[in-house]
Amino acid sequence: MLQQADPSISHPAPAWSRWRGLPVLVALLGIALSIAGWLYLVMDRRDQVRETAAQVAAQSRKTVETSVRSSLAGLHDLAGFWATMAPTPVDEWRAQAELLIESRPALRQITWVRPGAGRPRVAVGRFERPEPAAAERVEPTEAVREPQLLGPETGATGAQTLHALLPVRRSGDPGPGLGYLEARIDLEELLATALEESAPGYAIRIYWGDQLLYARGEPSADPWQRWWREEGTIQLPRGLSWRALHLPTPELAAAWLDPVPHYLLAVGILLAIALGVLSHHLRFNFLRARYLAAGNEALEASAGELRRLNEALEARVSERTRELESFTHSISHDLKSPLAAILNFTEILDLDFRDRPLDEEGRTILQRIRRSATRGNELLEGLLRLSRAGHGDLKSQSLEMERLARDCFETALQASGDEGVDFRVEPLPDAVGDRSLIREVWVNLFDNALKYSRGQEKRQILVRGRRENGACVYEVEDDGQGFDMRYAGKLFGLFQRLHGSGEIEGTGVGLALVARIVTRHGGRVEAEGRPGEGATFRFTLPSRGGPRE
Amino acid sequence: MSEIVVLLVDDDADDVDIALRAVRREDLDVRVEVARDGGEALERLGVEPEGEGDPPEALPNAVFLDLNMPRVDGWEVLERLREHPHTQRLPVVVVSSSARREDIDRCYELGANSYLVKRFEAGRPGAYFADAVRYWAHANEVPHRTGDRGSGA
Repeated sequence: MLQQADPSISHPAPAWSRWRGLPVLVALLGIALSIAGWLYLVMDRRDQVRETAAQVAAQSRKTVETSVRSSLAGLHDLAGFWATMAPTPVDEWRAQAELLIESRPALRQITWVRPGAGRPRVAVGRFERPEPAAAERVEPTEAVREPQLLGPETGATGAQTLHALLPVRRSGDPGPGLGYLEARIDLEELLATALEESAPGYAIRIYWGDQLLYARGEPSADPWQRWWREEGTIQLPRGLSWRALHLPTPELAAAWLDPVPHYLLAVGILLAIALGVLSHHLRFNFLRARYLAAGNEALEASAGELRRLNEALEARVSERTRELESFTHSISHDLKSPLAAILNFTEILDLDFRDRPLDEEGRTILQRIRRSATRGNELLEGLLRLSRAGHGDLKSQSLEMERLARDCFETALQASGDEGVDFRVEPLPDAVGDRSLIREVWVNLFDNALKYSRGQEKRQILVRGRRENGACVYEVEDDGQGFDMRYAGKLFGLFQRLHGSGEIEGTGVGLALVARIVTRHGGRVEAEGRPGEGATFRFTLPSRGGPRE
Repeated sequence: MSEIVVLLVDDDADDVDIALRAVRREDLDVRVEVARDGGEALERLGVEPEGEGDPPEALPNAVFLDLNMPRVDGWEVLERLREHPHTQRLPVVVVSSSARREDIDRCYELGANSYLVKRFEAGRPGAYFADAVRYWAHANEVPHRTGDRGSGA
């Protein structure tokens, strides 16, 4: 049977290649990986940036703190000095205050308000605003017991100022002391100076409460950089605290946040899609190659099958040819004999009986001629029967062998014209076969048995049968002449005769016919005999539908 | 001059008849003895049965041997004759209806002196036999038997 070329049966492709979603999965994986990589890079960068920014902002705030504290410390020292050195001549006091103001550009004004009403203060510093405004805010000295930091106040220039009040008192002196020191610090300038070189690239905002004290630079308006802002507290003395905001300027952002990860992401996604397409093609090709390979295998198997069938066919053809050749050879060879005899004897009649009448001798010749002609005819008929038995459809009929055997014996007996034969049939198993052909088998076997026991006084033919290994075995035994087992091989051959034509008549076709028919049914023939002691002819038939071509 | 005898070994009665008539028709002055099968022939020639009796005094001038015979066929006869010292040189002419190359060659291998095919000749039935007898019985010189002092022709 030619194989079906369905490779999915014989060679199922691996599960992964059969899944149509594979390329999509590959692409998604690629994209996912790209995004993951991009995220990682971006996050990493961000962390770096944040860390740096935090440091920078902290540093910046520290700078502010230090600056403010330094200013305040200066004031504090001044106050302390005055407290210790009082009474201090005014000039000296002023000189010191000026010194301090010189050294602190943000310091706008220092005033020592001494206790006692009505005494004018001595003011030192740069005022852009007329004094009288300041005069209204003079606190009574008793009110300033503790240092105070007030503000933010809008100064004369519009800048925010810190208003500091420091009591001037000797330590350990619980009394009113020597008044207080008042100072105003221009916070803008202070902060500007302090932060001049701090946090380069950052935009800074410093708030006192809601009031913006100082602003520098323009922060990046990019909404993607909202995360990059540092907000911190600048802790100042007396519980004062400011809010500091550090934001990246666009330049800084540009410098720090490079677009490489984004490019990589784009490339990655493109690659992922490309990989997806590629894997789709690969899968397609892979599957196709497999189908082709499997198809090829199937083809090869079919080709191999074809070859085998061909070889088997060739073998059968050559067997048939051989059979045919031997058949043809047998015919031509064995027909030649009677024909040659006819030719010869007619010549003899012509030559030897030219001048004499057809007497006894002549009639003998005629008989020979007739015999040869008959023999030739019988040969042809026998061959015809053999030919028919060898071909044509083999019917599969159920056979009652016992009845058939008896029937066939009657036929053979009538044809031979014999009498007085002791014929016995034992119970025979039924078989399956072509009835008309099996008839021929029985008839020929009985014919044979009768021929070879002719001339005997007592003749017995016995038929037996049994089942053996699923097949039916039948035997025809006679007590006739028998034969030499040495020549048993010739028995069933075509035209093979063990006894001369003078002794036993016949064409030598009968047993060949038996052999042919039985073999076609898938059975076997056998014979046993002993010279002078009869013979047993045996044939087997497969019990169930065994006919084979 | 003693009688010229040839032995014809053939089981087919018709062929024997044709052969004998041919010899008679052509006045060949030869006595043709006939054996119906190989066994009979071997007995006549003293080859069988072994160990019984003496070999015959006179062997035929030639043996004309058919191949296809029941029981003991021509092949076996030929072999046995060539084995036996007395008949080793005995002229044997195989006479057969077979014209097959392998049969012819095999006969020569086994030691046949000649091979004839039983052909039909129009006007001369049995001519193959008559012609051969004329040659082998009259023209041909017969070898002495091995161990013979000489016996006459």
